[in-house]
Amino acid sequence: MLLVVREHGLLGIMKIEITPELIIRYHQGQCTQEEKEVVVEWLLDPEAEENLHLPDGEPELIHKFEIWQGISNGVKKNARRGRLIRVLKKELYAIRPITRLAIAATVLLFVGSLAAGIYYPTRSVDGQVSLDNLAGNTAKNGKLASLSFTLSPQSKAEANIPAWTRAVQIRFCGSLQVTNNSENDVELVFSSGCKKTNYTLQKVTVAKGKSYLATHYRMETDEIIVVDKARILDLPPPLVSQFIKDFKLI
Amino acid sequence: MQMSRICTLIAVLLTSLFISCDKKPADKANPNERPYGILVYSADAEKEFLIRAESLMEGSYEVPKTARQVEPIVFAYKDGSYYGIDENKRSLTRYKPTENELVADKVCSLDTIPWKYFSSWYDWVSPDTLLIGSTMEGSQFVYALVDVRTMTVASHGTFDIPFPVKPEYYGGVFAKLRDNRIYIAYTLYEGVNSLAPARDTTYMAVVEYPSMKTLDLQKDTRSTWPGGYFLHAPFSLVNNGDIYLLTQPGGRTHNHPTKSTGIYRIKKGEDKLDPTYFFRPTDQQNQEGYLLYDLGNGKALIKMVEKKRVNRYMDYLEKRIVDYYILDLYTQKKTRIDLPPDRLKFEYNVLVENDQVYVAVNNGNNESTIWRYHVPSGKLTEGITIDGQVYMINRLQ
Repeated sequence: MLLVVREHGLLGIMKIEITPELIIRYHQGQCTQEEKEVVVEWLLDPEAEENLHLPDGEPELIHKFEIWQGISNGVKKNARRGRLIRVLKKELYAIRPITRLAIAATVLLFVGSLAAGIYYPTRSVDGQVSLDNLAGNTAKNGKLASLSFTLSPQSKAEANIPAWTRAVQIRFCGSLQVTNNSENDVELVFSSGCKKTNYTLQKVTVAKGKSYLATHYRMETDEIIVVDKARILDLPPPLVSQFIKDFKLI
Repeated sequence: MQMSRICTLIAVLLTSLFISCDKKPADKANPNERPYGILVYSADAEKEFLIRAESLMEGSYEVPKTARQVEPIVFAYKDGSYYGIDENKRSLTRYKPTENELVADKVCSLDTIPWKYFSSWYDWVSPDTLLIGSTMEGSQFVYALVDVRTMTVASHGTFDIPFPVKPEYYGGVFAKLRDNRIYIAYTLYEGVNSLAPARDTTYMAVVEYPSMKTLDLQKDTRSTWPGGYFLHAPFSLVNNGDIYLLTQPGGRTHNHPTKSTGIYRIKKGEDKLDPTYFFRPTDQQNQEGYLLYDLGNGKALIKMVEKKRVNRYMDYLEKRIVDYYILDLYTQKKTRIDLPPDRLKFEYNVLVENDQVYVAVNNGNNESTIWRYHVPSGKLTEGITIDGQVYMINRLQ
């Protein structure tokens, strides 16, 4: 029913700012589960690198890549472990403490997520999907396990589930609808795949059988809007018309 | 033999128990015992349901285990019946409240008439006749007259109002029937893919009823975005025959950079927006007003949003950003009620009984508290808490 009422289902959506204090709390294991996942998302988001504020000339991306590479190689080849540790130490001491904390957290998370993967071997959705409807005039459908996607015209989206979290990461530009056809609640993390990168993440937990709509909007700042399909009238009026047309709603 | 008798006795007892349980819900639907009907959405239970309350001031209510999902878009309650529209089924349904649910009583098909839920409105011609209107998603004004005794469409048609020229659509929508006139106000804005502000003009058509002939089309630039785009929330009221109409050019509807929330008046016996009256309860820089609830005696309740609390559109949906104000439509003064901040919901979460105003405020979680405000004295009293978000309160008849 009620468009009116399902409005209230948005309680799950929240925005968590990345701050040095948050990173420190993360390292100290004092974060909530939501905060942990936002930190992880931020750490693994290549477009977030500019927010690290490294000293001029600090090749942070390269450092991070080398460390990951080193870990990967080190896991496979014990013989190279000594050199890896030396590289790690050298690289880590060369960068700022806050970044060091972030990297340490990433490593911890990587190990933790491997453990979580063993602990939670089954998931309601799995894999990845890439949809492109940039040249389309009508909506385009796609699936990722038990999630179904409907992409508006002039939109694109990629969805996957990284090993370190059970949340489905959806990176998109334009507008889309996601329906949870599984028997469990599914957590979705929406990020922008548009050229602009100053959009904040939006997270939502979608109950089984429910659909959510996500789109880009600018009132005062660029933002991603995510609403329960049943509360489509929560969208700004121009978008309501568009969504009704694209997704045959109401 | 002895065992057989005992078994028979147990069977009879169990059967009578089930029969008595089965009778319970419908028989207790006595308005005198539980006179308040509260429609609630529970995020935890993920459903909308009806609560029957003895009082709005004492006790607390959780989702009843027997609560059944309310299916339609309920937008009105009149003379013992609720009315809801199901856009997908293209039907208007009349419901009777029982102890714990709304039971479909009669259905009127809208299948053969033009109708879109987005940007629609309704009014009562008489207790038996419902007038519903739509802008067909911003493209054309249409109407239907429904006989709610038989739940049939008595007539339907289109209004003779100039069409918007692409890429524009009708924006905002207000319509009110008074005597033999229907006043229809709107603005124009660019729809899909455009964030351009709406025009800085309020248009108002004066339509003769029941001929539905357009008599006049007026323009006024004191404010824009008259009314809203919801069927199920109040944007206007009639006081002593004068119509008061709210404009809402805020970020939640369609942001306008210079126009502020305002209230127009259409005086009794006059077919125009009163050029001598315009109540601007706030300025464009600091606050936005939404929804207008009639308190009687020239007073109204409005939801006011402090703009500093809103940095992005999602704040309208997630944050508790609303303060409630009493407006004096005569003196054009406003008084803030000392209620906790509420979420901005477009709904009938307000009930007026004589001098008392009941307001259901969301507590920032899946819970609401109903507060009672005594208008003459300004006394505020905390009432019942409800496990869910209240979207309609009525005193059942």
